[in-house]
Amino acid sequence: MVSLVVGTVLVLTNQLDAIFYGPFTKTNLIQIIITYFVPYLVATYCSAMQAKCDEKDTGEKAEELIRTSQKLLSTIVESAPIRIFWKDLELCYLGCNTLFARDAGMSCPADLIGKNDLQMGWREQAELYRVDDKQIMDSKTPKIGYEEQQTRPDGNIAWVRTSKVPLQDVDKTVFGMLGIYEDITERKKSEEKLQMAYFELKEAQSHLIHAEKIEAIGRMASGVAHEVKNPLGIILLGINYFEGTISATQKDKRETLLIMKNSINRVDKIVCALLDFSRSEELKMKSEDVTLLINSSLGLVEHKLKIKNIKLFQQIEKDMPKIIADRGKIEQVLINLFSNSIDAMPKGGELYVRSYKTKLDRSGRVVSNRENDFFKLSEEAVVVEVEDTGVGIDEEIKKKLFDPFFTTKDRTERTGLGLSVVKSIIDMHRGLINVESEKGKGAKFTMIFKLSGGA
Amino acid sequence: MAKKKVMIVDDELDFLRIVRLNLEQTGKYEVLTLSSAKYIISQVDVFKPDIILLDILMPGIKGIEACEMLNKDPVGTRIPIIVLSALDKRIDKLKAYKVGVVGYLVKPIEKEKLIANIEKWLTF
Repeated sequence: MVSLVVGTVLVLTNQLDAIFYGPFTKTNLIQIIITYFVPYLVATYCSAMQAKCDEKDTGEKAEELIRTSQKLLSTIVESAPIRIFWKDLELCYLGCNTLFARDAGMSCPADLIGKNDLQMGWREQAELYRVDDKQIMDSKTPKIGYEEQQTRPDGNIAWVRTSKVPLQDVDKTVFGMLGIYEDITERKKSEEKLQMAYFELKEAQSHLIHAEKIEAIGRMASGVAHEVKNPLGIILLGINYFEGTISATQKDKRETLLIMKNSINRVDKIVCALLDFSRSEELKMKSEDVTLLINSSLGLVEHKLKIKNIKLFQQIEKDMPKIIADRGKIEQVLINLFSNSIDAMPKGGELYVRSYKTKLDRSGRVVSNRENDFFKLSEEAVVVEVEDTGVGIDEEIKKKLFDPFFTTKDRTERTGLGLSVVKSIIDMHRGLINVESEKGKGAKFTMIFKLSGGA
Repeated sequence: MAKKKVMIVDDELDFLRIVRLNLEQTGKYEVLTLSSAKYIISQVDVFKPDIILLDILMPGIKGIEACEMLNKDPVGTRIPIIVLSALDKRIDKLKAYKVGVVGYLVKPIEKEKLIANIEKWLTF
C-alpha cells in the first residue's frame, strides 16, 4: 500500500514538473489532469483493491475500508467529466461510468459488463480498439492522448481523445486495461470550420494577388503600348517608303517587305489588345437591353457561323430586365466568346446562347450579404450563357484561361489577350464570369450582370 | 500642278523624317516639319500650309493646345488639322474633335491611308 502511495506521489510530482516546466496554460492543466492523473488514480485504486483482497484480511476494519474505498472510487468514476472504462485480459468490459455506457448505447454501466467491443455500437472501430488494448497490455506501455473516431448508437461519427493504460497489480502483472476519453467532436467541427475558413481566405488572397497582378499589367500595358506605337509607325512608313523605290519585278524584295509589314500589324494588334485590356476609365455605363446586345453581337458573327456549319440556338427569356453595362464593351465580350466558340468547332457544331433572369442563392467571392459585396444573396440578376459543342478545355488550361498572353492557338493569329480582355471587361462591370468545360465535351461561359434597377 | 503644302508637327524626329520622305516620294507635296508646337503660329503664317499633321502628346505645347492657338489665328483657323498620334483612347479623340480637328489617325499608319486622308481634306 505504501508503495502505491509513493508511486502516486511520484507520478503527481512528474506531472507537476510537466506543468511548471512545460508551457503552462489553464487548458493544458485540465488536459494533463484528465489525461494523466485520472487514469492513474483509478488504476491505483484498482490495484489497491486487488492488493487488499490478496491480503485476505477478513477483519471488519478492512471490509469497511474496502467499502469506503469502493464508494469513493465509484463516486470519482461517475463524477469525472470524461468517459471511463476498464477491461480484462480477454478484452471484455469489467466496468465503466454512465457517460461511457450511454456512448455505447446502454442505459447503465452494468449492461456492459462481460461484453466486448464487437458487441457495441462502434463495430466499425472495434477491431482497431482491440488491437490498441492488446498492445497496451502486452507492452505494459500507456497510450496517451490520441484522437480517434467512434460510431455512436445513432450512427453519427464522434471524435474522441483517448488515453489507455495497462492495469497492473502489486507485482506488476497486467490484469486488464483502463481507458478514458473526452468527446472532442465539437472542437473537431470548429477546427474543420476554421480550416475551411482558412482555405477560403487563402483562395480569396490568391484571387486578390492575381487581380492585383493583372491590374498592374494593365497599367503597365497602357504606357508601354503608347511607347511601342510610335516606333511601329516609323518602321511601317519606312517599309512603305522602300515599297515605293522597288519595281514590280523585284518579287523577293516585295515579299520581304510584305512579311515585315505583317509582323508590324501583328505587334500592333497585340498593343491594341493590351490597350483594350487596360481601358477601364472609358466605361460608359447605361441601362441596356441584353437581348439587343446579344442580337447585335450575333449579327457580326452570323456569316462565320454559316461558313463553319455551326447551328445557332438562341434561348432568351422574354421580357428580360435591363442591365447596367457599356454597350460596346459587352458586345466586345460576346463577339470574343462567339469567336472562341467558332474556333473550337472546326468541323461544325452547335452554339447555344441563353439569357435568363435568376436569383443569386449561392454565396461566393462577390455574392454575399457583406456590405461591400456588389451582388447580395437573393438578389435578382441577369445571366448570359455562351455554350458550344466544341473541343472543350482541360483542367490545366482552364486555370490559365483568363491570364493575359495565354493562348492555345497559333500565335501569329492570336494575341492571347482575348479572354483576359473579356475578364477585365466583366470585372470592370463588377459582374461575374465562369467557365465550365471538359476536354472533348464543349465549353460553357456563364456571365452574371447586375440589373439596372439594382442597388 | 503646284505642290500642296503639308506641315507636320511631332516631337519624334525619326517620325518627321520618314513621313517627309514618304510624302515627298509621291512628288505631290512640299513638306515642312516642326519638332515642337512652340513656333507653329509663326511658321503657319510664313509656310502657309494646306494641311497640318499634328501629334498630341508632345513636350511643351501639347497638340490640343496647338489647335486652340491655331483656331485663334486668322490664317491657322482655315487650315484643316489631322491628328497623327499613338493615343487611341476614345477620350483623346473626343478632346481633339472638340477643338476642331478634321481627322484622327492612330500610329502606326500605312502610307496609303495617310495620303488618302490628306487628299480627302485637300480636295474638300
